[in-house]
Amino acid sequence: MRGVELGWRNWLLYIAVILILVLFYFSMSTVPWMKRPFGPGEDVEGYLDDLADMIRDEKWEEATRHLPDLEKAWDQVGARLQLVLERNEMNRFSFGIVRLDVAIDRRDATRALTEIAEMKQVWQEMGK
Amino acid sequence: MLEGPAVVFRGAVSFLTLLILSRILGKTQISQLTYFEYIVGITVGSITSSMTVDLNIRPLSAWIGLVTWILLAAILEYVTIKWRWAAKILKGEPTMVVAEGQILENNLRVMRYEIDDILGLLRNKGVFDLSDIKIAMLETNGDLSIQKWPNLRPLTPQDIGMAKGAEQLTMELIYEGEIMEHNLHMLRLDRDWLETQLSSRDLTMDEVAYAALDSTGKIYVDLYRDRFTIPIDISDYKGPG
Repeated sequence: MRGVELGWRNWLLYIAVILILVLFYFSMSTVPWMKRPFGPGEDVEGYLDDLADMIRDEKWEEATRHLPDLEKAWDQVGARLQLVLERNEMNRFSFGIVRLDVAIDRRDATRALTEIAEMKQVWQEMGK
Repeated sequence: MLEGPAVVFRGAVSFLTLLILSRILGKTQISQLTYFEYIVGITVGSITSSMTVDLNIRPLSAWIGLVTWILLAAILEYVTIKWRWAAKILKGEPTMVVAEGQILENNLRVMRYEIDDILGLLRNKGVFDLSDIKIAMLETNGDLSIQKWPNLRPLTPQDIGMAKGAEQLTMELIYEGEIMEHNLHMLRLDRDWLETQLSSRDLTMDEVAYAALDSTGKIYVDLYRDRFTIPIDISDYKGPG
């Protein structure tokens, strides 16, 4: 008895299905790519480094003015990252910004630098 | 953060993945599932729903879990089809529970069934007297198959020596007003023949919703404009509609 022969249309269908599944896999494992700045004002890691420098130099006024830039960058990057990340990872970074805000407001350099170090760690761990 | 886009993205990915991968699980009906297959179905559904609405789970982890479960189920299905011994171990095999009108209690115990369960299944099959049964088997999906004694089986055309010709499928000629050219071609008929048949009944193509040709050569025609001689509204309560 002859087996069922697969026509080229069937092969195309199988290839399309495999491609869709591969596309799904890669769309959900693109965190490192999504973390990269897509435009000006999206360099979250750069803003964290800048803030750390300002706090080390005790430029508190400058740090206070600079913090909203970090918040804005996080809002933009976070909007696409939330598609592929779990909420807890997102919340850890968001709460870090709030704590950093308070530390800068209180002029507490140790606390502020600790928060920045933790946020950088969270940022680097995202999607791993 | 707005949760809507994340839920929509996760929902679309899990929905399409399930749609694609469930096709490779075959066409087994829910009523034919074994207990294990039923549990696999529930687990896959649970993973899909978690992936969609539980934002505390990383979508990639849930997606890999979903694909793993479905692929394992498909591999298991393949193995049970290819190797009979594997099917026996993984899916079990039918068990005889009644033989020549007598209940096989030991087999029931192994299957963890009670006599009442079997009597209930028999009643579902329209059998109220155990002595009518020659053999009853409990299938792997929990269904009961029965064979009655020969003198209690329904009469068939073969029993009275009536020869029946080979039957063929009824072929659709018109579906929702559209002519099924492929079927006409397979029957070696054409549009002209169909129009002639309809005009002999004082009908035009536009009036016909559905038409089919049965194996005896009789044409069934259903019109868009229905005419009834019996009441078709069976509702006995005037509702809000």
